[in-house]
Amino acid sequence: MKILVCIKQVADTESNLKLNGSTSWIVEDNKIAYRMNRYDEYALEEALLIKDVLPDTTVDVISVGPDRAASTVKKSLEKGADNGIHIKCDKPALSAFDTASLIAEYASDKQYDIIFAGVMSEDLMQSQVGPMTAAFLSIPSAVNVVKSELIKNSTALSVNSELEGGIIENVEITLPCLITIQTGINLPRYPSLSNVMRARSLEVITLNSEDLKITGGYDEILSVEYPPVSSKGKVINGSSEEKAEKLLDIFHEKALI
Amino acid sequence: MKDKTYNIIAVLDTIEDKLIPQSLELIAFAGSYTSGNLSQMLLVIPGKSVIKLCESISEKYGIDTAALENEELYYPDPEFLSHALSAIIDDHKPELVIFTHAVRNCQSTSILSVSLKASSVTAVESFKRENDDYVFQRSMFNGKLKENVRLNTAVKIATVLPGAYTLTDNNTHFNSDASVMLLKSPDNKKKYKPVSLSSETDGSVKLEDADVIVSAGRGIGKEENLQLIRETASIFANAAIGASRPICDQRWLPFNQQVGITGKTVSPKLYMACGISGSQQHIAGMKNSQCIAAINKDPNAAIFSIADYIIIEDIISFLPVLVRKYRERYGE
Repeated sequence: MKILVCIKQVADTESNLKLNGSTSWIVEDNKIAYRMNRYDEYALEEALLIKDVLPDTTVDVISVGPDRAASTVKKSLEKGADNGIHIKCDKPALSAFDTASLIAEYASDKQYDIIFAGVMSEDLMQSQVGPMTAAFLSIPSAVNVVKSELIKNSTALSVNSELEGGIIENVEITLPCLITIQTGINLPRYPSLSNVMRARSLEVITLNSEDLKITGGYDEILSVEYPPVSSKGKVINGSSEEKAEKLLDIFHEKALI
Repeated sequence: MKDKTYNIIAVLDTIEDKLIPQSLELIAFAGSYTSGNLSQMLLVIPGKSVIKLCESISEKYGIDTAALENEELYYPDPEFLSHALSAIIDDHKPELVIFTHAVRNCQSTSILSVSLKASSVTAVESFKRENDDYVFQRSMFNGKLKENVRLNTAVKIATVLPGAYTLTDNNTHFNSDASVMLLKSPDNKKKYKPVSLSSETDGSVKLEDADVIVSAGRGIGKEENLQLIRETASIFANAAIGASRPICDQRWLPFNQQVGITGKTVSPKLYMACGISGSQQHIAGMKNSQCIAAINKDPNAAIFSIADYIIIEDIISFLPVLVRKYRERYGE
């Protein structure tokens, strides 16, 4: 089995995000913590679980991003991935179309049986790179998957896709295919010491996005802004104790306590 | 079907041939987009046998409606649907194709975007007109920032966030002789086969029946701290414990206690969001609560944008104070 996992390095949403001077993107400085997109951690784990059962499996990870993204690729190797591919691209907030076209361009001649991706990235939240990559490669995709199981002698997957309101749709999908993984499907592992040692000797394969064919540029971010400040909510001020007292007053007024 | 061309095509959602009512909000979005002229709008309703449904929708809203029928569309099938829609879109070359924002509709949008070389944007909250262009607004970074996106192709595809546009009586009866048509979708090679639908229901937790829901988010830090949430809930007479998705992902609480689009939609008298940052998908599940009190140490947390009462505190230190003050006051 040959598996590719699409991963992204994202700025932690708990970081203090500030707009840059031209409001084209956020300020990327050392105050921002970068880490693997959470959805992708679950996607990587899903691939590693297959490798645990079918040892003859290769798990490659691929990431499109600036230089710093290489550290997240390396992290995947420490968790047990076999090969790491970093497509270098300095453009911030590359569109889903462009990102998918780069990944598909790389994957087109590699004959992957399964490509895993996270449902969305935590920064751009588009839910598109996965299914667009599948569309570029002319393979089927299943999205928002909360359970995945190889069936039919590993020629297909039986997956549970989460719809609205807790409805689960079971789908059979033929390999090769692309699956986007929802959080909670598994419990992502920590790197083992042996894999950390192994990863030290592994080189991340670096490619330049300019050397790959890219087809998009269809949509563009014009500007980024802060959401309007809420006028609805009442900020409760004071010491912790005063805040607690005021909150209890409110609960009492509303006959809740 | 070439006798009329459409400039907006809205694809409504059905499951087992039943309409998801929220997808009618697309009519409100289109009404706003076209300043009320929906004579060139087409509603497409996919399903196995939905022509009757189309007739009632067309009559009620006065908008041309097409039943896109195939056995395969009885369950949601974005692979099949986008294949079938591709021909219709190619035929009409509409300016805009819209879906309700849901992950499976992002899948359809993505497939269409690649196959038609059309630009797309998902989870649109609003739009504005700048010169001759429409600029779409959407959230990023869990709602902490918004972006303005321009789509640069003739055909544009978008998913519209549920709840962003509300259907009113003004959105009915655009055209008294709106037509209904039946489009039989051709079969295509099946590499994607929906098999069954199920629902994760469990009677043990009645979030829906509680007057108060005290909900835990990532801010609780570790599983043991759920005890703080339980103690807080115990000060109310009829309270249940809810959670945001990360808590259930960690298996700290079962998924049937998850509030959000992918979990339960609730509207209690009081919703206490404890250490919940306020992702779009969570907010959609609780924003209709009668009163929302949010406690978070991050003053920029998105949850504060919909809260009635905002408390900027770390729940780990604040909830024990709240419980102690309650006990001092009510002597328990």
